[in-house]
Parts: sequence; C-alpha cells; structure tokens
Amino acid sequence: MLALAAILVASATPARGQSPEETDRLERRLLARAESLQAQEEARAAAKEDASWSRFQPRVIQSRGATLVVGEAVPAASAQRALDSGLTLLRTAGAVPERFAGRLVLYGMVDTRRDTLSRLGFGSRRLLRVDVSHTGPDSAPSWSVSADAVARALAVEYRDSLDVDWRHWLPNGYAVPHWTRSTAWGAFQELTRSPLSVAGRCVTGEIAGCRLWLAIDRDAEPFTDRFTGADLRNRLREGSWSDAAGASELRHDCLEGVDAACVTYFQSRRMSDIPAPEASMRGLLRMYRAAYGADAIERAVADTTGSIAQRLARAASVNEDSLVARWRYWTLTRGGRPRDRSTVADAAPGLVLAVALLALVARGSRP
Amino acid sequence: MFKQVLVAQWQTSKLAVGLLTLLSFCIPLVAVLYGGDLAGAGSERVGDWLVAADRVAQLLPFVAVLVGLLLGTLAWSADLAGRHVYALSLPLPRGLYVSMRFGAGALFATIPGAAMGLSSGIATLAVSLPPGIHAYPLELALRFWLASLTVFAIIFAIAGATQRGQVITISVIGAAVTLDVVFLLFGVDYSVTAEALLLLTNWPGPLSLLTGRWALFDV
Repeated sequence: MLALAAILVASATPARGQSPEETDRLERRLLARAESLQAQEEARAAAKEDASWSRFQPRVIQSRGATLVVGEAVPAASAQRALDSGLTLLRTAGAVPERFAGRLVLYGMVDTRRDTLSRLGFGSRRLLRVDVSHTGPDSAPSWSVSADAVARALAVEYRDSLDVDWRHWLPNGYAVPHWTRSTAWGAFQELTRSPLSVAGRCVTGEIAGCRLWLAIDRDAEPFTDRFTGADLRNRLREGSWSDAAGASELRHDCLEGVDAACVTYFQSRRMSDIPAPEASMRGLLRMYRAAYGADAIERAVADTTGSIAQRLARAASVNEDSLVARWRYWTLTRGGRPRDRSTVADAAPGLVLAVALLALVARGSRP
Repeated sequence: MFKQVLVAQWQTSKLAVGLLTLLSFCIPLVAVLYGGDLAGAGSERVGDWLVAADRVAQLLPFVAVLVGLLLGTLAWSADLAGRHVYALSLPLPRGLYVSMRFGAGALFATIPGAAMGLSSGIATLAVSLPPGIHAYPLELALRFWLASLTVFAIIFAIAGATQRGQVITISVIGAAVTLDVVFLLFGVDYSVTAEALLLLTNWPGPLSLLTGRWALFDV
C-alpha cells in the first residue's frame, strides 16, 4: 500500500501549464488518499489478527479440583471430556494422587502474551503445558486435547516431584499403562532374550536375579552387583560411546577383557546406574496394580523410605521376594493367573452345579 | 443293573471314548517334541520352550469340553433313538436310572483323564527341567478329568432334562442373545452373554476350571 502511495505521489508531477498552487493541492489530495488507504489496510490486518488470536482466548475447564485452560478453538465439551477421562485414567492407575492435580493448572493453546493465566487468578499455581493437537485440513482445523495427554502431563510432573529413587526408577508413561498382549509379549521377550546374566538367573527361578534385573534394590555397587564384566563389555560393544579424556584407555582395557576397567569406565561416565529394562518395570507396575489395586500403587509411590522393593512390598503388605516371584510368574506366563488355588477348589463350584443339575434331572417325571 | 446300563452306553460311546483317549494321550507328549534337555539351556531357549508348552496347553480345555460334550449327549442318544421305551420298561425309579446313566458317563470320562495322566507322566520323565520350571502331571490330569466331568454333567442334565426344562434353558439363552441384539441396535455398550460368560468362567463361576492354568510345564 505504501508503494502504491509512493507511486501516486511520484506520478503527481506538475503537468505543463499547471500553476504551483494547483500542483500542491493535487499532491496533498493524493497523499491524503494514500494515507486513508493505508489506515484501512492496517485496520483490516488488525481485525484479521484479532480474529486469529480469538481462538487463543482462554476457556477454563474444571473437574475434581483440576483445572485445564485451553483456547476457545478447543470445544468446551471435548476439553471437559479430556480432563475427566485423564483424571479417571490416573485414578485407575493409582499413580498420581487426585489432590496433586488440584495444585496445578494445565494449559494449552492459550494466548499468554498478556499474562493471561495470572489475570485469571492462576498465578499462584504451578502451570503445566499440555499438548493440543489438530486434525482436518489446515484451512479449517479441528483442535482437541486428549485424555492421554492430560494424564501423561500430570504423571510426568508428579514423577518429577518424587524422591530420587522413584524419579530414577519409574518408567516413562508409567501412569497410562496401555497393556496389551503385545506389551506382555514384549516384557517376556525382554527377559528371556536378554544377554544379561541376571536375566538368565531370573528365568531359572533365582529371585535375587530378578531383583537385580528389576533394579528395585539400593545396590551399593550397581555396576558390579547387577552386571558381570562380560555384560558391561557387551553393552560397550553395542553402544556408541564418546570418550572423555583418559576414558579411551579404560574402554580399550574393558574390551580387552579387564572387568575392573569396565566398571571404572561406566562409573567415570557419571552414570549412577543403568536403568532396568522399561517393559519389565512397566510389567511390574501392571502386575502390582492387578494384584493389589491402584491404592497400593498410590501408597507405594507416596512412600519415601527404603528401596523400591521395600516400598512396593510395604504398600501391598507382602514379602518382597513373593512380590518379585509373582512378577516373574506373571512375566513368564505373559499375564497368566497364578496357581494360588488348588485344582479341587477351582472345580468345586462346577461340581456343586453338576450335583444340583443331576438332582433336578433325576427328579423329573419323564424325559 | 448298572453293568447292563454300562454295556449299553458303551456301545454308543466307545468310538468317541477311543478317539478322545487317543487325543488326550497325544497332546501332552507334543510339548516334549520341542526338546527335552533344558537343565543347562540358556534363558532364550527356556523361554521359547515355555511358550511352546503354553500353546500346547491352550488346547487342553477344548479337549476337556469336547469330552464332556460328546459323552453328555451320547449318554442319552440310545434313549432318544428308542423314544425312551427301554428306560420306561425297566423296573427302576427314574432317579436311579438317571444316576446309572450319569455314573456310566462319568466312568467313561475317566478314561481320557487317565490317558492324559499317563502321557503327562511320560512327558515329565522325558524332560530335564531347569530349577525355576516345574511339571504338574497329576494336577493337569486331575484338572482335565474334573473339567470334562463338569461339562459332562451340564450337558447330561440339559440333554436329559424334561421338555419343560429344555424349553426354559433354550429360552434363557435366546433371551440373552435377543437382549444383546437389542442393545446393539440402540448403541448400548453392554452384552448380557459376555457378562454371563465372565460370571461363568471367573471363580467362583462353575466353569472357572476351564480358564485357569493348564500348562503341564509351568513357571
């Protein structure tokens, strides 16, 4: 538009025979016209921008003490459903206490340029961003928040608020365990196909091996307790490791067969431990919830005393080894029910029914 | 009198009993075909072997159901063919006659169970298991026998029930299926038959025996 005005002004050269006054008047008129056009264009752009930002106007959704602020582009019903379902998911998993969600404000796709959330009175609460996804064509997108996104955001935040043992141990997405036959198979494969010696010990029934595999104890020397020199060497061979000064010599010694060098190498990398395999940790939580309920998980995660094994066992009022043995059975049978009832007890209801039916048939007058 | 009933029932059931006994004998032995010496095997091989044993075990409840189903219907087949003339001509109260028919069928159901016990024992002796894996030959045979007996009793009762009893049974099943169809049409996410099956197959449901662990070799 400015270019157009410039062209107009430039083109307003005095015509032959025009007086200087007439020329000035013409120039002023053209300039006024250009300014007017520019003002109109700016107003249109501002209106367009306002319309664009209006979808970021905050919409406050609340459920069971939790708050979700989303832009107006996200339909209220959809946001309400996502918050309700997300909280239900967490309650079912038992991994995040309901009161924790009340301390936070989840937000997504909100215009935060002018401190919007503080003006809404949420300044004192911790803000937590949640993903808003869109579907449909770019010209008319449909925005939504998923229950999964709400649950994951809260779970990650809760995990970060826990003590170091839980922060280190709890796997990603621990609170939204979508457990299927294929994940059960994955946990089985992880344990039976692992080259680590503790996995083999666990498969053949050594509970201490299972505990080391799951990394649920506070091992004094995790690298020497949980891994053999050969295990660490294999890990070193498989991964791509960039060496700090002096570490390449250790790496070389480790690969040459010096077990102590392997331990020193991993310790030198400021690694406190190698985390337990993820599918196994998720499997333990899944089995634990199925066997002892979501409340037990909530109690265990809120506990800060002792190792992970001690916390889980205490919350379920069971022995640590029996808990691990149950997990081992569950993993190796891919979710099989434990043989905790005798066959006769299992058959008793059926036999009672059989006798009752037989009595009914015997009493009948004719077939 | 029981001997006569037993012999008469054997005539109609012998082929089924023979085939089911053969099947029951063979299935546990299939688990051993995957290998016998596991004492020093790596965890990967033990895992594969467990999966194979588990897959074989999944067949067993179906065989138990088949035993109960066939023996339950065959127990009454002679009476149905002769329009109950033989049964009515016997100088016996109905209760005693029914008990004899049931006893004969239960005895026949024991034969596949015994075959399974025998082959499970052979399979157990044929393998060398690592410390964390156990064999359950007796438990498996007992489970198989009790499951086939339970199914046999249910089918025997339905097949031998009075016409009124059979009409009631069929009506209940028909009503459940009709309700399911109605729920489906109205978009209600609930299935009466699925819920009923869950109740029947989860302890203390009478068929919970069929859904437990059937593996001969287990963790």
